[in-house]
Amino acid sequence: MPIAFLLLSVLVPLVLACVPVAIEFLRARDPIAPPPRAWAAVVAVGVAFLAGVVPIIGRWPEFPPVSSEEWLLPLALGAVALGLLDGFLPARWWCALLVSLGVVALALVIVEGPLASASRQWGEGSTRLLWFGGVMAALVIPAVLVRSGMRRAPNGGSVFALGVAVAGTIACFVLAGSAKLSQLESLLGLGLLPLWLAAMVRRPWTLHAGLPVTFCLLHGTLWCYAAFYSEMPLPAAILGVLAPVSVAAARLPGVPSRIRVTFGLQSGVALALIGAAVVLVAMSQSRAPGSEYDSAY
Amino acid sequence: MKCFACSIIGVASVVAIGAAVVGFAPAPAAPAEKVSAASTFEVDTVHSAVVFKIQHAGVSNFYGTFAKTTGTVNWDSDKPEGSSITIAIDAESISSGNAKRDQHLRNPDFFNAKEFPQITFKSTGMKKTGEKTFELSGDLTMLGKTKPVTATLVWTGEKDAGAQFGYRLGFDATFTIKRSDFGMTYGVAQGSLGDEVTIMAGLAAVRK
Repeated sequence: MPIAFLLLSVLVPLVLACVPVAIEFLRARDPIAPPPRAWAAVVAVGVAFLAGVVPIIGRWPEFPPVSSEEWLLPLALGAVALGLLDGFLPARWWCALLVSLGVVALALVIVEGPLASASRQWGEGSTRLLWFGGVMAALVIPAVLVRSGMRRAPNGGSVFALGVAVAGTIACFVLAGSAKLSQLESLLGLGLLPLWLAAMVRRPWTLHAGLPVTFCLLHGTLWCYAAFYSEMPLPAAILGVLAPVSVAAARLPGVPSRIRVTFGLQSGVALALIGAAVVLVAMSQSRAPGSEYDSAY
Repeated sequence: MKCFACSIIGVASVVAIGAAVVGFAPAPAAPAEKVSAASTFEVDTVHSAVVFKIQHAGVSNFYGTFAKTTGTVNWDSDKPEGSSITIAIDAESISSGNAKRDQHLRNPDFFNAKEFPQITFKSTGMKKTGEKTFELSGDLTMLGKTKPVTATLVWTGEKDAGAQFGYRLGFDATFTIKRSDFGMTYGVAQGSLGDEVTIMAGLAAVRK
């Protein structure tokens, strides 16, 4: 892999993701500074993704976009805007409703935009309705549940669980033979890395509001692409989309709010869900003939 | 594997030799009839082939094929410059001799065949460059992007090939594209696969 490609698709997104986290991290050390605002996490993940999309897809997208991968840039901008809105709005019921409506609207854009050519193959009548509802649910439900879980456990454990989901997703996409999708998913991991490191260093550090919306919309979109446009078994795609929901395990009744407990529970659930997806993809690929071919070459 | 056409030719040869032996060989076929006016031909999917060539690892050339090609040729033998060709290649039909590589070629890293099931070529002009050669200009649409390309077209024949094959026309077409122009960039930056792809098509078309 050439140095220029690694620089643009890995190093630059990682450095850019570190900037907002470092700013808020240093500000949080100042005892007289106002309390940190929830923008760093959203910007870290969003900027890492936006910076890496163009080098990975290999061109600037046209407007209007002509392919699903060209849609990723405007979608990421929308996801970041929604995440910032979520982070800055107060924790009131009408704010949650407003953000949820925004998530539904963006999910509709995803279905009618990048998935439009796939949606033509969804059949008619109740079959079409079922597909449409399923994809909408895959994009909206994880965002709502992860948001709820992260409000309960806004710490490094929640970020680590998302990281587990990302790592497993990369493995699934590589196994299914789509290097490009795995590189795009890795951008989410690069955005999460400085957040996790900062949270590990400074335990009572709660900057994650807004992150679930941005993360889940991008993660869910990539899984939708994989399910519709590559050789991805549908059960594996469902598990992959649901893996971030492991963050909501912190809200299960009877679970104490101690970080060690929630950390273990969230990571364990994430590992179980995405691990099962990896096994399903590996099984489906081992049945394919021509297994001596390596997509890296 | 012996193709069906070869079997038919074999059977026909045996019948002809047998008939000659018993003294009543079949009447010679009528001389090839040439269409004088413009005619519409349909691409014979079974007897047409589309082959692509791409450099691998900066060293060797790799060849692959598309098994399914459809299209229409509006051919005017009196005035070939007024002819037109429309071709559609089924992206799912790509074959490289390795099932797993074919799967990779069909997914979003390359042809994204589920999102863009067809690669199409629509001619926009034809210029005679020799007795049997033409410069064919047209628009190639792949991965949702349309770019102008220029192909070298060689007229390879035209005749009535009998009841089974019908009145048919043949061409060889060759052109080179930069796949990154269409957004297919996998392996280009890494140098594992070339950016330039040469496409060679042997087209057979039957008069409607």
